[in-house]
Amino acid sequence: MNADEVSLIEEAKKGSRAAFNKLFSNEQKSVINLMFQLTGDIDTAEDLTQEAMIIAYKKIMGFHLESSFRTWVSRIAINLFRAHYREKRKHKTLCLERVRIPSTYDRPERIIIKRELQWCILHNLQDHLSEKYRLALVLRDLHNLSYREISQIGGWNLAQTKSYIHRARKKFKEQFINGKCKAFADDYTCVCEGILDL
Amino acid sequence: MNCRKAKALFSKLYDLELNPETQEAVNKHIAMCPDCRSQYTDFEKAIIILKLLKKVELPPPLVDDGSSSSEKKA
Repeated sequence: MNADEVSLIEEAKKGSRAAFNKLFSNEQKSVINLMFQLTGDIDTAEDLTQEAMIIAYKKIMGFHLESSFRTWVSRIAINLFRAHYREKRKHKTLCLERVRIPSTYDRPERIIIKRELQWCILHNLQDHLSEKYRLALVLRDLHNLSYREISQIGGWNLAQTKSYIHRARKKFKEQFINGKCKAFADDYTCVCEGILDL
Repeated sequence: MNCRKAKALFSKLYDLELNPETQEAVNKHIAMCPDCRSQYTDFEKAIIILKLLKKVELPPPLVDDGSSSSEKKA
């Protein structure tokens, strides 16, 4: 944690709203992306981020610099996501296995694949990975966090963290390479490389 | 090194988390075993695809430093 961040935290604890706002706005993009990657819904992601900000503001006095501010705020957001996920799990979700994926021959205009690939990635995260695997995968491969940071946010020990990351990647790979998403993966790798703006 | 051990280490290999000896042993096995080579290629491909997930744009600021409300009042 750098000196500026520590100083802002101290100011925020003394009641400076400006210091808290600066601290949170530094992490806002990371938190909202994390929530979007976990929930697959931008409105929910915004709501959870907003809620995380309010909770962080109320609880800043209890933050004793055991981790970076980003890790601490991410953990608050993750707890909100878990509560949201428990609620959502009660509802049936749309599963790709029941959706007809158009054959690539149906669509000469392959640009559409770019949008569908995005949907398919989100679908895999939401519907084919358990909450802990999804969290491990997103934090590692989309937020590039270390094993230690992920274990702090997830509330797991290091061995569990490594195991979850490995299993999540394996599961995601199996779904993409062997499941119906293969249609997108093949298009991406074989046909649409030039279209996807890598 | 056999296929089962090599496959269990794919994630650590990708993250460069193996000690040099084990890393060399896994790499050697992958180079010699067509099935593991193909599976590791798919493993890497899946992570590349995952990373294609676009970042969302930020909504209007969630935080409010108070200046906007005073501007509105004025």
